[in-house]
Amino acid sequence: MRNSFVENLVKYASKKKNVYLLTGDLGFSVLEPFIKKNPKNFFNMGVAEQNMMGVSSGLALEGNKVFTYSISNFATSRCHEQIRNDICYHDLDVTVVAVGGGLPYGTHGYTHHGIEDITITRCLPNMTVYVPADRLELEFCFNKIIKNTSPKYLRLAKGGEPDLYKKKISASGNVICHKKLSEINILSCGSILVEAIDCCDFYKEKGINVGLFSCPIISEETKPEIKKLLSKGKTFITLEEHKKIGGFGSYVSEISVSLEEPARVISCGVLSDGYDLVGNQKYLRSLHGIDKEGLVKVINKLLK
Amino acid sequence: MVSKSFGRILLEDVVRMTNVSQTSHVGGCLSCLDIVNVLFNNVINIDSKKPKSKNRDRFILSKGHTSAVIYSALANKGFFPVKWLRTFFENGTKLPGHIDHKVPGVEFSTGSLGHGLSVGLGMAMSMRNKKIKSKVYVLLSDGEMNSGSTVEAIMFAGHHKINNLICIVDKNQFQALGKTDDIINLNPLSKKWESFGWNAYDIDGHNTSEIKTALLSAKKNSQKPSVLVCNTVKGKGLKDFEGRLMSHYRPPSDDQLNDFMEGLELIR
Amino acid sequence: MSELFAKKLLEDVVRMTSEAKTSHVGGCLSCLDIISVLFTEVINIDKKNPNSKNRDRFILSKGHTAAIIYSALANKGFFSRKWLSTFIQDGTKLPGHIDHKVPGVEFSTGSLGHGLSVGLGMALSMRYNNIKSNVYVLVSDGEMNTGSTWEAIMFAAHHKVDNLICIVDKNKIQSFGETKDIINLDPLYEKWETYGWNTYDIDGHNHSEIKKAFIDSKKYSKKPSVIICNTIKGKGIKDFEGRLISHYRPPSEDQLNDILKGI
Ligand SMILES: [Mg+2]
Ligand SMILES: [Mg+2]
Repeated sequence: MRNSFVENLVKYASKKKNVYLLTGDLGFSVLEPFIKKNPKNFFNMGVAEQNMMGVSSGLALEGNKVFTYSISNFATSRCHEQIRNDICYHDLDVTVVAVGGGLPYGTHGYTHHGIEDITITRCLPNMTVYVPADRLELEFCFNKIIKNTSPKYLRLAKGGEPDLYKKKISASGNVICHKKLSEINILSCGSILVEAIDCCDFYKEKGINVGLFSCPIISEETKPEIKKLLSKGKTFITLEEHKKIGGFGSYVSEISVSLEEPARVISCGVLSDGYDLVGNQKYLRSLHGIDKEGLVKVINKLLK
Repeated sequence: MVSKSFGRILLEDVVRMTNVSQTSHVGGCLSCLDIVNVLFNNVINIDSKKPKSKNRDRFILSKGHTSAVIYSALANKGFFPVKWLRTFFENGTKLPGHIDHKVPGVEFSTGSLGHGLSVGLGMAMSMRNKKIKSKVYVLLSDGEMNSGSTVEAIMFAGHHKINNLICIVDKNQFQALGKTDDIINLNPLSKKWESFGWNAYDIDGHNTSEIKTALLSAKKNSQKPSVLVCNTVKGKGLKDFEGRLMSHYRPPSDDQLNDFMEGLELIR
Repeated sequence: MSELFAKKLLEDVVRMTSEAKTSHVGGCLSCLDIISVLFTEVINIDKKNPNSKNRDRFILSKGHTAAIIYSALANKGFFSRKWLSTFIQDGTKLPGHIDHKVPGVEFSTGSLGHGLSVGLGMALSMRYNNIKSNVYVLVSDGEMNTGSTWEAIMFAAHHKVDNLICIVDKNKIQSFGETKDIINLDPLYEKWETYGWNTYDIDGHNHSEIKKAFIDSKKYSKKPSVIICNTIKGKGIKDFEGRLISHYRPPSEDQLNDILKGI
C-alpha cells in the first residue's frame, strides 16, 4: 500500500510544482520514485518529527501541498501538538501519512503498534482521517485528498495487502457498499476489511446475508451516510485494527447515540487487555478477535 | 507638535494594553520592544495594503505570549484600526492574549513555545525554492532554547544552509519560573548556534543602531542562516519591573502607568 | 574476557536475525564491541539480584537493536539462552524492539530519542538517594537529530548529572542514508563539549580504548560524560560493512555459516 501511495503521489506531482514530501528518516526503497522526479521538493528531516510538522506548516502557508511520511506513532503521538496548533488550527494543506497503522509491525513490540492514532487525530479541528483497505481504496482516498486542502491523516498499513476490489471504486459518497444492508452488518475501517469479506463469504455459503460496508474516511462529511445506515433499525458490528477506545467504533457509536432510536453497535477492535502482545499481524488479529473467526463468533452469538 | 517615534508608540500601547486588560507578559513585550521597533520600522518589508504580497518579508512571533507588542506594531503600521488595541483580551475580542493568525498582518498563531522556528524554516525553504528574495524573521524567547523542537530546526536550517531565515533571540534572561541561568544555563549561546552552522551576532538588544546593523548584515549573508542573540532586560522601561520575574506576571498598576506616561512626557 | 564475549554476541546476533529473517543486524554489529566491554568489564548487574538498588542501569535507546542486548543478557544468565531462538516469533517474550518485560531490561524503547531522558531521570534519583552506581545510555547517531535528545543533553549538563554516561554509536548511517547527508553533525565532539559534557571520541571497535573511556568517565565528576564511539555499521559481515542495506537485510544462510565457521 505504501508503494501505491508513492505511485499516486508521483503521478499527482508530475502535474504540479507545489507538492512537497518530507520524511522523518523513513521510507527506504519506498520513496525513491518521488525523490528521483522531484529532488527539490523532497526533504529528509531526520529523526525530528516535531520540526517536520512545523516545517510542513511553513511550506503549506506558502501555498504548497505537503505530505509527511513516517511510522504511525512517530507521525502522530510524538508531534501531536505541532499537528494540533500548527497544522490543524491554521487549517493547512498538510497530509500526515503514516505507515504501520494497526498491527503490521506486530513483531516489533508495542512502540511500533499503531493502535491509538485514529483516536488522537480524528478529534482535531479541520482534520479528515483516511484509512484505506487496499491499493484501490487508497486511490479512492487519494483522489479526495488532492481536492481536500485542509489537514489530513492518511493511515496506511504496510505493504503486500491483498487487492479487495476487482476494479476502480466508483462509490459516490465516502462509504463503499460491499454487501447490501441486512439484519446484521459489518462496518469496516482499513485493511482489516479482508477479514470482514471472508466472514461475509462464510455466511453466504450458509445462505445467510451479512451486510458489509467499508468506511475508509472518518470525517464530519461522512457522518450523514453512516447516520442513514444506522437509522434503519439493524445491528452493526464495527471492525478496526485499532484500540476500541476513541477509534472508528467510537465514531460510529457517537453517531448512533445522536439518533432518536440508537442502533445496536457492537465494537470489535484491539482489546485494552493485551494491547502489548507480540507476534505477526495475523496472529495478533486472532488474539484480539478481529479476524474472520472472531467475527464469526460474534455473529453466531447474535444469530442464536 | 512633534510626532511620537514608533518606539515610543509601542511603549505606550503595550503598557496601556496590559494595564487596561490587567494581564500578564508586559515584561517580555518590553524586552523585545526595541527589536520590534527596528524590525518593523526599518527592516521588514510589509505593506498593509498588500498583506499577502508574495514578496513580503515574513515575521513570526514564536514567543506568542508577547502578542501585545506585535498587535501595536501592526495597528500602527495600518493593518487594522488602532482602536482594536483597547479590546485586547476582552470577551469576543479580535486580539487574543496569544498571537493569532486571524489578526490582519499576523502570519502565524503561537502560544506553545518552540513552534515558531520550524514554521519559519518551512516558509523559508519554500521561498528559496520559488526564488522569492525576501526573508523570514522569527523572534524567539530565550526560554524557547530549552525546547528540543527549536534545536531540531536549528540543526536542519544549518545543515541545509537556509540563508533567508533570520532568527532573533530575545535573551532577557528570564523564563516563566526564574532565571534562565538557573533553570537551564544556555551559555555560551552564540557558540552553540555557531556549532550548528549558523552565522551569529551577539548584541545589545536595546541599542537600536546595533540591532539595525546586525539585521542588515544578516540580510546580506548568503551562506548561512543568521541569528541575533539580543541581550535584553525584561520589563525594560518600567522601573519596578526591570530585570524582575514578576514582570512576567503582574500587569502595570494605574500608578505605574501614570508615572510611566509622565516620565515619557519628560523624555519626549 | 570482552573478546570472548564479543564472539558469543556476534554468533547470536547473526543467527537471531538470520533465522528470524529480520532487519537491524547492522546496528547490532556496530555496537557489538561496546556492549561486550560494557557487559563484561564495566557494568555492575547481577542476574540473582536484578533489581538491586545498587546496580548500574543500562538503557538501550536505539531499541531496534534489541537482539544484541537480549544475547548479552541471556549470556549473563538473566534468562535462558533458548529464548533467543524465539526472537520475534508469535507469542515470543523477545519482541523486535527492546522490551522491559524481558528480565534484565530496564526500559522499552523503539521510538528514537527517548532513552537519554529516561536515563537522566534515573540518574537524578540515584544521585538524590546517594546510590553510587551509574546510568549508561546507548544512543544511535541518528538520534542526534532528535530534539528530545538535546533537551536531555542541556538539562543533564546544567545539573551536572555526572552519574549519567551516554554512549553514541556513531556508525554514520541512519535509516535513509548517511548521517552526514541528512543532518551533518560533525564535529559531534565539539557540540557535546559546547553543551557542557565531558566528552570522549574513540574507536568503538577497540576494546582497550572503550574500556579506558568507560573507566575514566566513571571517575569523572562535575559533568555528565559522553563517549562518542566511531563504529562501522554491519561490522563483521563483509558485504554489510558500512552499508545501508545492513539496516534492512537479514544475513543470508551463507553469511551466517561464514560467521559460525569463523568462530
Ligand atoms: Mg525570556
Ligand atoms: Mg546510526
